[in-house]
Amino acid sequence: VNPAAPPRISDSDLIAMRAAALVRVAVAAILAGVGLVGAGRWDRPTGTLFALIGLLWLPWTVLLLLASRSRSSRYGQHQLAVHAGPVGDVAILFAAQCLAPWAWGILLLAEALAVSVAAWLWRSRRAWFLLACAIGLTLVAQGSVAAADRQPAALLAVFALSMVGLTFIVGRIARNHRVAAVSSHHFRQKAETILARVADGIVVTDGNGIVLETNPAGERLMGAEGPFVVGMPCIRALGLHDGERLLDCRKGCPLIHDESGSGREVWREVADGRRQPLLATAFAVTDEQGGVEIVHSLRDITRLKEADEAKTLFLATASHELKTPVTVINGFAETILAYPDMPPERRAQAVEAIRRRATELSSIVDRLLLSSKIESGRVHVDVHPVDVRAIVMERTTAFQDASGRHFVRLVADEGLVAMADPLALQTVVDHLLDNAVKYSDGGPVVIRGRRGNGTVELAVSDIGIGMDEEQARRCFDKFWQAESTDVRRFGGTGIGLYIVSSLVDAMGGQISVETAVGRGSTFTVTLPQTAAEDAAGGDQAGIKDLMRHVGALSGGNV
Amino acid sequence: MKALVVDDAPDIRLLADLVLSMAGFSVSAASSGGEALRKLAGGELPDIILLDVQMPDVDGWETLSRVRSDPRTANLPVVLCTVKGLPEDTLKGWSLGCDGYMSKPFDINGLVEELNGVLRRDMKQRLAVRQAKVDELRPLVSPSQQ
Repeated sequence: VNPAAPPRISDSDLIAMRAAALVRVAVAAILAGVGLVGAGRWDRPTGTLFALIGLLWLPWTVLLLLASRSRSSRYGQHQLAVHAGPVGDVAILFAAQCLAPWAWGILLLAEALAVSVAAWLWRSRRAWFLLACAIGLTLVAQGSVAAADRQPAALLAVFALSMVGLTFIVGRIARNHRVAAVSSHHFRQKAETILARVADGIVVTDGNGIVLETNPAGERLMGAEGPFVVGMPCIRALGLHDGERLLDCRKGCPLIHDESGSGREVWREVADGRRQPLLATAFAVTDEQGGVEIVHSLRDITRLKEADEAKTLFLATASHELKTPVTVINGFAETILAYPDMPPERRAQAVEAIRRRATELSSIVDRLLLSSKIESGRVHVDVHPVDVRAIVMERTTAFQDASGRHFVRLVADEGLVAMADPLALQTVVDHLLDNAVKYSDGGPVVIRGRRGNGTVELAVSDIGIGMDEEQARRCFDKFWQAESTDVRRFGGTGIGLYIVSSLVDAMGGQISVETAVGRGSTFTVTLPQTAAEDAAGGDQAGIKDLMRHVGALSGGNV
Repeated sequence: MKALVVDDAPDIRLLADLVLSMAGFSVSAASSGGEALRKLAGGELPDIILLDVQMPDVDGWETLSRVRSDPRTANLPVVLCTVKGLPEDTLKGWSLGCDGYMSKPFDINGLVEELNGVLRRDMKQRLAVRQAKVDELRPLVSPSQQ
């Protein structure tokens, strides 16, 4: 519904107005014609005056006719025809009543007609005012004519009462009609707006599966063919498949028999050969002629499916990652219980393995929790000026101790101060170093810190396996891992870089990656040097705890 | 009895070594499918192989296929031991010709029993078990996953 649309006269009013204007022109023309013919034969003044009135009225009625026939957007002209028409009618009829009292019958009928038209078109008190004027003018005309031509008072009273009744009835019918027309108009506009704006594609076909109409979402769904599908068979326009079966709707829509009402998952092939999953429902409606039309509603569920698959993949990977430490912990615990007289060095190995895997397990669980907190938007970071160099130096040292053979080198300016949350920054640095060490086959890892333009840049570079373009594009996605086959060199749940990018984001910074297969990767974190906006949050104790854990346990393969 | 344990996680190798030695096996270990195949090619012939699936270099599936396609090792009993426990994974294992399928985490007695159970069966019985498992699992796995 567009409130800015110019006012329009309704279709039924337009018809009434145009009919009245035509009748008026015809009457004026007849009047003029009769007057001209009669001027020579009748009592001279009457014929001449008829011709005069007719000829004077004719241009006015033609003007009104033109106004009434103007384009539907010409609201002003239509208003002229609507309002000036009946007023002119009553005035002309007054003149006629004065001049031709012998034609009173037909004149009174014409007057009733004119007032009725006004009552229909005006639908307001002005119609009653016009009626009063008409009755008054009739009485004046009666007074002005010769006594012999006057009508009995009783007849005039009946005329006046009939006019009142007629005006009342016509006005009432017009009002009801208008209410119905307005509500049906609004209903139609509302239905059209809903159809146009709804995100689901709506495709209407006839009983034989020929497309009759579609909404914009439906057109978008059908791609380039969208605007041309009307008249096409549904089987070609939509080409829906259920499993490997093409749904044939030429002998009745197969979707209609779905009793559940929740829709059926189908797919259609899109331009690039991809299968687009859709949730389809269909129902039958009766058209104006009593025939059957099928309304299909099609919802694109590609993103839902992708999210669903990502979640399934994540569950699979996460449970794999959890199973290995559980196997070790459980297995060694059982072994210790089953063989109490195990050699002490073997027992020590077993206990050490249990300890290490328990730590890993706890680290994985912490990361999963942190990721789920990030997901639900419950991560708040407390951003304030932080000595980046000090934090990075501390984490780097911790790392060299943990990984032994790996060489993590720090190259950083003195006094690097950025707006950050120390714990979040630790977590970020740990994850990036962890990844660099994990994927670099023992090669050196360099972490560089330098001042940028109002920013502090922290770049972690390795000369490891690197990533291709697609991998680089997706590496910050949740649950995503470069290796998805069973020839996995590296474990992990695929949430490490997701956590990193989310934390950097929360601190108001940015992260990017430069990488090439076999050449290694450089992850660059850019943090603001001064406060941008207040990113501090409330309840932080829980998340800080988690980040402390996750930061401290950098050895786990997550 | 000689067992070859193939797993990329050192502590799992250690665990299997510990458990199987206690149960009377003599154990050798390999950290990847590639290393295991090299050991087999080098003339080391165990009585049974305990094989992980997800490994760098050559994974367990590939290792199993190559073991089965080499006439020298084609009849060697192989027990898969993996975190992959879905019906489609199990079906893949049995179809490739494993003789036992252990899901991690396993209990240590179960592991020993499984290995001993496999070793008790002769070739004909092992083939029958494989076929029975494949028939049992196939209806549980949709065609697109096979």
